[in-house]
Amino acid sequence: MTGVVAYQIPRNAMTWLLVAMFAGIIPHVDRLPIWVTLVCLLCGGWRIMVYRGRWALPGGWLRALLVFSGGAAVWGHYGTLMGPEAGSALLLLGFCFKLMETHTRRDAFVVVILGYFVVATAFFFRLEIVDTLYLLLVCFLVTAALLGLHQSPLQTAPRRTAWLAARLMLQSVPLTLVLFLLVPRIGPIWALEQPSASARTGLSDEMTPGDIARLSQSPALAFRVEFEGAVPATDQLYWRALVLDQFDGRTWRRHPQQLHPDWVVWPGNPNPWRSSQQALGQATAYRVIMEPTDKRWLFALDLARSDQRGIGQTRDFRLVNRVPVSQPFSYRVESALNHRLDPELPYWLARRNLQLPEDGNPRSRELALQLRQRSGDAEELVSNALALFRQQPFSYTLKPPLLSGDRVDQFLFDSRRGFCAHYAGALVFLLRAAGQPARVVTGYQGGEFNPLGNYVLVHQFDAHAWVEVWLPGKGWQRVDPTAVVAPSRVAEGLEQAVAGEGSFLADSGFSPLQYRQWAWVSQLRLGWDYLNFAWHRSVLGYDADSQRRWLSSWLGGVDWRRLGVALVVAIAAVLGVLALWVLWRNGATTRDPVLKEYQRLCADGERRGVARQPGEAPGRYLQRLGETFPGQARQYQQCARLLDDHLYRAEPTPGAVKRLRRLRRSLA
Amino acid sequence: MAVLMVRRWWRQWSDNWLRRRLPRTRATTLNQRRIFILPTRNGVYFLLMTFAIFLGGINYSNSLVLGTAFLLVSLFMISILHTFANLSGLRVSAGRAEGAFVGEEAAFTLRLSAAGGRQHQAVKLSWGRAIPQYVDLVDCDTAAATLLLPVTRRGRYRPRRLMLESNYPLGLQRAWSWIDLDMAVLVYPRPIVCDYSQRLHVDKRPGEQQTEEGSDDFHGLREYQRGDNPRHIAWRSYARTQELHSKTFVTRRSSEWWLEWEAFAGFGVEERLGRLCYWVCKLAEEGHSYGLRLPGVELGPADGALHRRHCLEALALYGEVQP
Repeated sequence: MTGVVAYQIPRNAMTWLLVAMFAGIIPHVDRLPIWVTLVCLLCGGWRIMVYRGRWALPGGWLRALLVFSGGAAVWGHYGTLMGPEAGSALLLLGFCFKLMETHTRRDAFVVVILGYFVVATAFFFRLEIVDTLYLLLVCFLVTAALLGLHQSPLQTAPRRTAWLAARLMLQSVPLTLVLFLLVPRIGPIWALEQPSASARTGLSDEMTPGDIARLSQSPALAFRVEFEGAVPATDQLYWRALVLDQFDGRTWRRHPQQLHPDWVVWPGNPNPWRSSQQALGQATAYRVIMEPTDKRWLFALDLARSDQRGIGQTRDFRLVNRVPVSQPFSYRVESALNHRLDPELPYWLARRNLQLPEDGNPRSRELALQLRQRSGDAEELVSNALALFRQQPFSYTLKPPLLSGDRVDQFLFDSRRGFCAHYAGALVFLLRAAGQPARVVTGYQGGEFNPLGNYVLVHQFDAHAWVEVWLPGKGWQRVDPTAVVAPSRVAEGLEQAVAGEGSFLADSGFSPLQYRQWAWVSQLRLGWDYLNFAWHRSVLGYDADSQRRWLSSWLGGVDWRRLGVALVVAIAAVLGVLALWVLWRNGATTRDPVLKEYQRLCADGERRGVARQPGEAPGRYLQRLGETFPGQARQYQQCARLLDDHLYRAEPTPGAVKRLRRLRRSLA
Repeated sequence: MAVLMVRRWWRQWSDNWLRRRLPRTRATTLNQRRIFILPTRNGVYFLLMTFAIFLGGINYSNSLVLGTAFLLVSLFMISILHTFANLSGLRVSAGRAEGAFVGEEAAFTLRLSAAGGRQHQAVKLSWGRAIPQYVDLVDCDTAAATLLLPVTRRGRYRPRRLMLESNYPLGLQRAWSWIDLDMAVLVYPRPIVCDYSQRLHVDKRPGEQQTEEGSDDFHGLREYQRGDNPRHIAWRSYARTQELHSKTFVTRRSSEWWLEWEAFAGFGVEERLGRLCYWVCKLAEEGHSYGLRLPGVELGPADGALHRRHCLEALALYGEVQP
């Protein structure tokens, strides 16, 4: 161990550092490997024992071993030491290790810096309002520790330190807001791999009807949509995300070509399939604010287009982002709800959408041929197929029986129970077998309207699959077999569709969504969601784009010069006001009310031409005043007596302040 | 060489500039004219950290990480105000200054008060080679600090500028101020232990004892007066008579001494002064009456603290031009 260290970190600062450490670990716990948390807690516990004087700090070799093995373990776990995940694990370990060997003020300052980093990195993974408030609290704790470090050792009240730190933090808020709003947002300076959170719930790019006996539903939010005009009817809200056009008898998948760069056209480039999409009528404009999915696909109503940089349109009329969406992301879309897609179907596309496995499901193929023969044209074929679902005893359920072998046959002729994936898959199979190009489209359907913010909430349980069939002259037409079987699923949402079954959100644990029938729960939930919506839109989604829009509405046009001037003026104004506040002198040099009165007496005396000499005692000065103004000598004498009593008598004189004040007023 | 010259020129220039800007004074209140403020090394590190967080926020397009960076920058700026406010409004005035012997430390007492009515924390006072002191003005309006400055030269000692500094609250900036406080002490010669062979012993009329008020022998009782030493109150007589009386004492003045400059002929000036100084202290301690004769100065025989001080002052200022 080293020799005696002269400097001792104030206990005050140490208290807050320890509190900040434990508080700083918490937001990382669910994401980090468990051993990181355990090592951190061990370090913290050890430091507490040292703090209480029970244990000694670990020796140098043990610390070296800890640091080395910590780094190696992070490397082993993440395969790297860079990037937000491994980086934040390293930071957290470093924070705790450094706390173990903190002797000097310099060490403590390093711990504080690491503490701020721990807070900042937590924001890579936690973005909700509650998380933010909590992390601000941690930030405040670190600041309290920093403040404690610079108090003199005589100040040992941690509460007071915290109060001072809180004042600093609160005073920083206005300036933070100014900087947040006005500092120009620029795009990434260099490309980085975005941190990916642990497995996210969301849409899958495959669909295997009959594999799961129970559709797991999540009450998690998928995205929110803010319409610029009126919200279309619920049965119009088909949020297209994926097109599944390949079937192997079991699973519906995307054709490999969909992943090819040529499948997407980016804004600014000539659109090679412009002629195959015709918008008819007025476009509906809206903004989608989506939760991270770690996938590139976006959600939009048909037929969608977006001018936003980095958002492209695919050959199958979906929108995709250039990079996977790993942060809350918002984009503006214009959709022509009335449209015509691929009025002329190219041969290669028709072939692709007629693809079926070589064999299997003979009964369904037989049925398809019968349908074909019964129908005069394609439209009739579709309506006949749908009539099948209506007339046969099909039912909508979230707990369908498992299927195997010829799954479509089993579903269509035996079980006849299923959810959207079963119906969409079966219908496309029938249509293709009957020679009509068709494909499965997945995404979300419907949404919950929040009247508070005039926006639509789409949850994960709104995930849906439907069918697109190509009709000569009309192009791709949306057909939803689920709507035929369970009209309420499309018109009113999942909850109504499975009301009899009681399976709505049955396995998702507690969620306020389960209590939608209670009005006040709904009110609270929608209110809270509105808050989150505003948070996502105005804080998390505040980027270069929205900054430009917001500023041009305020400053009337944005350029660098205007922005610079606005920034400087705003900072100066905020700092000016704060400086007045912080540096305000209340004039009095004492807190003693009697002495304050005396000081006012002195000020009055000075105004009357008799200034107090430096070092002149109160009694002497008042006597001199009395001599200068003989008419008031008696009052001045009384003042002097009151002062003397106050200053030199052990017991306080009751009412001295009031009497002095009255005397002073009579004199002035 | 050139560096040295530049350095000397710079020191002289800054010294003059400070003197013009901050003239010598007995008391002063710190304000924006007197307070300088700059970021500390830690402050620079803090800004670098903030910049790193800012880059992270930009590159990952994360509003909240950016927000953290903005919050930290704001904290930095706000702490400038607070560091400044921690010194501003602080009133520093000269208090007692006690003389000392060469090689010892002179005690300078400063009085600090919060003229702005604010709190001041961890204000560091450094003055010359004194060990720096930290002063807090929390929940009180005034505080005193005594700085011990080592003195090495006999004569009148006037310390250079006093520095007040503070990096409270966050240590990111350091505010400091120079004050040319008008405080001076006398530095007495370093006492040199020696014999005094020429004990000029003057007995005044032997047999007749001279007495005066002192502390050696009990003399009698007199009525208690305010301000009398409580130790001298005759409690036994109080118990008897219910009246307060004080005991009086007398000192027997048995002899008078003359301390002569010439007695140490052959020594250097400082040597002589040191020896005389030793004897002044010794005789004063023993309660003798003594006189001091220096070239141009003669202090007649007397005793007591005041006389001792006069003698020491004469020794300290020997050879100096009286101001």
